[in-house]
Amino acid sequence: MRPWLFVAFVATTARAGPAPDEITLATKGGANLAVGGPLDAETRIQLGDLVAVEATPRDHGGDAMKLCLEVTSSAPEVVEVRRAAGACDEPRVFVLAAKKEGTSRVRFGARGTWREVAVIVSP
Amino acid sequence: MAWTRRATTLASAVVMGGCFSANSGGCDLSSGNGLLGGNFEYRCRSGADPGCDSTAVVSYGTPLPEAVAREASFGIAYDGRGVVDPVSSTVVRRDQGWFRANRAGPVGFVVDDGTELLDAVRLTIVEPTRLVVEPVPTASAPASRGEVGRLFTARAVSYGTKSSGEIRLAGALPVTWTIDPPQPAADTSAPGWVTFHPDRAGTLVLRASFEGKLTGELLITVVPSGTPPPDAGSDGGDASVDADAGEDGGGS
Repeated sequence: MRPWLFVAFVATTARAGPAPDEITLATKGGANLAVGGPLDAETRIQLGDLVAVEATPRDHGGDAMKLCLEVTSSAPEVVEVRRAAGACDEPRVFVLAAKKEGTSRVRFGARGTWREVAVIVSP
Repeated sequence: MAWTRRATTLASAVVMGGCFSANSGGCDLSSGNGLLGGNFEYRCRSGADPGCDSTAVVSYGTPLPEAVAREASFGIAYDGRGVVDPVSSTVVRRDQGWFRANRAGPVGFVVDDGTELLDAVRLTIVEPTRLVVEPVPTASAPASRGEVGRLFTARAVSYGTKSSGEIRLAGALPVTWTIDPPQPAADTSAPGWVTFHPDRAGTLVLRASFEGKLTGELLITVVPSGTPPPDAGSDGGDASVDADAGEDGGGS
């Protein structure tokens, strides 16, 4: 199994708590994506470009949960993921930077709930 | 010279924040021009860059240039702190502390404080398709004509095409200068910028060439030293200058 490389360390809280029902991803700009729109399961970025993403864990009722997220990139040499400065549980904004041509699967997760997108970097 | 974007209000800067180009998909109206709300500052390497006036820096809060020419030098700073890096060093390279883009298209920059990501921003790089040589009035030579022995300054400005049509591109473009007849001690050390002291009265042709594909020419009438300036209100002797002559739109 191909190991997931740890990119942006945001620890899941140690104390027990409910897992989010889902994690939603909304763009905050970049890569010619509409601000506030969802990040598609397959997203294309041109080499050298970037996109900012707000990831939000949500409970069963759809409300945002105050949780930190763990984010990994399967190929960090292709897509580097960095969390914006500040508290890890609010806001949860990440910048996906297209550093090399290829594909990377980027996962956002907390307490066992994951959301994955395939980021394709084109030349 | 005044750069009209200087006059842009803070309100319009906020409107432009996060949506530097027409195809960025929308705007975040809540903050500065960075994707995460901070303010990036565009810096000019020389007075040749139409992205700034001759003071070479765009103030905080002003919109970033709509597009920068491929291969042109430019700078990006952030709130006076952090280190700004391009997303890809193969697309945007460093050149003596400035940036230069290798190809047209969107390019991203991130800034961090050594540990944490502070903000990110995007610029659009456009292929130059037209080159124009412009006279640059200075304190010692306010009129756009030459005078024997008096400093004459000109710059090469490029234009490119976006979906909105042809636009003036920011960035100091490295060009090769030729002056006919040759002038002694012409200074071409700054990209896109040339200064010299005309050594004789008559007509000079100042030519800029970019990668051997684009050329721009400026026809300069040089008057004898001590010639009175043109009549007030004649707009600086425009008849002696043909700023658009000779451009070649054959860029790749």
